[in-house]
Amino acid sequence: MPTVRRNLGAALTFGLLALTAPVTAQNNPLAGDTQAPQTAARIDAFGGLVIPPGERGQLLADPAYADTGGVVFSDELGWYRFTMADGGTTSLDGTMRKFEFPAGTIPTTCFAVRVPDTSFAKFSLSQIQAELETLYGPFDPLIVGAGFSIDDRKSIVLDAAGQRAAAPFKLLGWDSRNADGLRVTWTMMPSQVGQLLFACSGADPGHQREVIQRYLRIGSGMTSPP
Amino acid sequence: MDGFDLDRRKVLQGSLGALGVLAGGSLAAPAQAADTMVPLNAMSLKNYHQVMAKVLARTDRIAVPSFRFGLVMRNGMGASGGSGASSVDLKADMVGVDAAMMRQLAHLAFSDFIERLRATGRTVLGWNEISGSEGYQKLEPTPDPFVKKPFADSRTVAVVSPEYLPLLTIGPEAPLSDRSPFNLKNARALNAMSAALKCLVMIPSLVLDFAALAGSGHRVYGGAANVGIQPGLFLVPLFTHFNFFHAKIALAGEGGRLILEDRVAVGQAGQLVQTGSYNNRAEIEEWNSYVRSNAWWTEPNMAAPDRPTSAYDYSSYQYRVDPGMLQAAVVDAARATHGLYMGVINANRPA
Repeated sequence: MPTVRRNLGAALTFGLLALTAPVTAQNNPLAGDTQAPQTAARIDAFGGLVIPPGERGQLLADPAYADTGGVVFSDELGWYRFTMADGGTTSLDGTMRKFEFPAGTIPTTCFAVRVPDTSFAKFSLSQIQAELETLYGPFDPLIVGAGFSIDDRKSIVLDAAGQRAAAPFKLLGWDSRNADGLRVTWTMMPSQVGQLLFACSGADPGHQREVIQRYLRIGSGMTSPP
Repeated sequence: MDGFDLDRRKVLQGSLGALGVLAGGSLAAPAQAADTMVPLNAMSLKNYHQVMAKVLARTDRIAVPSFRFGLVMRNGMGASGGSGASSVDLKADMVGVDAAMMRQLAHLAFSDFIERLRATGRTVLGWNEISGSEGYQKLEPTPDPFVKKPFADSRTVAVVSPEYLPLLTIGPEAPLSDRSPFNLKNARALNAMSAALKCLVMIPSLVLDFAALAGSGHRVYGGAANVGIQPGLFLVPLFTHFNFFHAKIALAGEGGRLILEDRVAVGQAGQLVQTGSYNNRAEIEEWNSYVRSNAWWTEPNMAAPDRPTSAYDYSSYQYRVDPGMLQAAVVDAARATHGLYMGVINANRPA
């Protein structure tokens, strides 16, 4: 009998938890009339996004997020593209590109740094991707050297919506915090031409990883260098 | 002496049976369960069986009238040894999830699917066009939530669609269907929709289980029996699939499928807790202590314990879900599977 009562208690507790789970309104993404087809983004043979030279180094309106005032920035060398779906600004601080934007209701800041380096030039991209997990050791000191302690190491698979004819890109990922309690999620994409360091600071690692996963794309400047 | 030898053999068998039961119900992951699990980030098309993907190249227009999201809510396994002399049984329930939460998860997964589908550059039909078609009017929705315990299967699965979509199944999707294989109404209605709107019709299905069970089966000669449970969400093979149809005429058309063939580990979304155990371990331990000692020889007149006629252990578990973790895991699983589907769609474009 006590066992039964305990079980019932647990079921009720978790039933209540289920009821208190955040449930937002469900809007049918198909609602309304048929929309004109989107232009499929071009990708190279390795899965890198082909960024036209005319779009590089500019902050442009993103038609995919037109209703929320979304903007997109493409890197000068075509290494990456980053979307700020609710709008935002970008500025250059030395070699560091800074993005400031609201992600939902959370003010978020991201940084991108290109590190040209040919250490991996003799390896193929697929080989680098396959052995990515072995690279935490060599790159850990970078995070620690910046004054952050590492909370977690977990790779991030970039989520190239709809364009995944090639294998999705996997990036090294660190969740970290500094002495002031600032929480930053760092990612590193190593390739034959160098490393792209992309860091994000907002609310918590879950939010930061979501932003990177959804809105960062690797460009063909990293995957098929000129 | 013959009688003594026979008795020792019986004692030995009893002990083995008891040991088997003691191993049973442990939380240790059985080796065979771990071996067949593919990590989510390593999932590829190699883990899918593809049928008639070339149907995807028939047209650029795509209608998605439904999306199915399922969770295994209950699972169980039994094992026995020595022709039933020892038996173990395990039941596990997923708790903390209700239909509204499942529909919300279905909505998030469906939204991801549509976002990706639009990004392929294909024309994704709006709901006005889909719901206005004659084929749509002919569809017979399955009651939502649809709860099914397939025949000869210990799993109980609950399936829902987002609240704004009908839940649709056709006969060949058995066992997760409420239709007979001879009931062709929905298949014909989908064909009619495809023919009238000159489009492909797609219905993805994403089903997750919360724990992998493994057991020693039912043995006649071996005395031991064990079952094991390894908690953690995984995509369920066969139930997770992606169906697409195309028809030039309403009466008949062609279809293709991508069917998951391997279990794909998604991660944890809660905690496994043992909530009940009904067993005679104490009785068996008492008997084992007695036969391991020499009391049966040195104290022939003592009141010896009765030899147990069987060894049994019936355990129940709950996988107590954290809603936030479940949502993250489902979205991760949806993204990974949809990404693969889009790869196939991209690879089969109309000329």
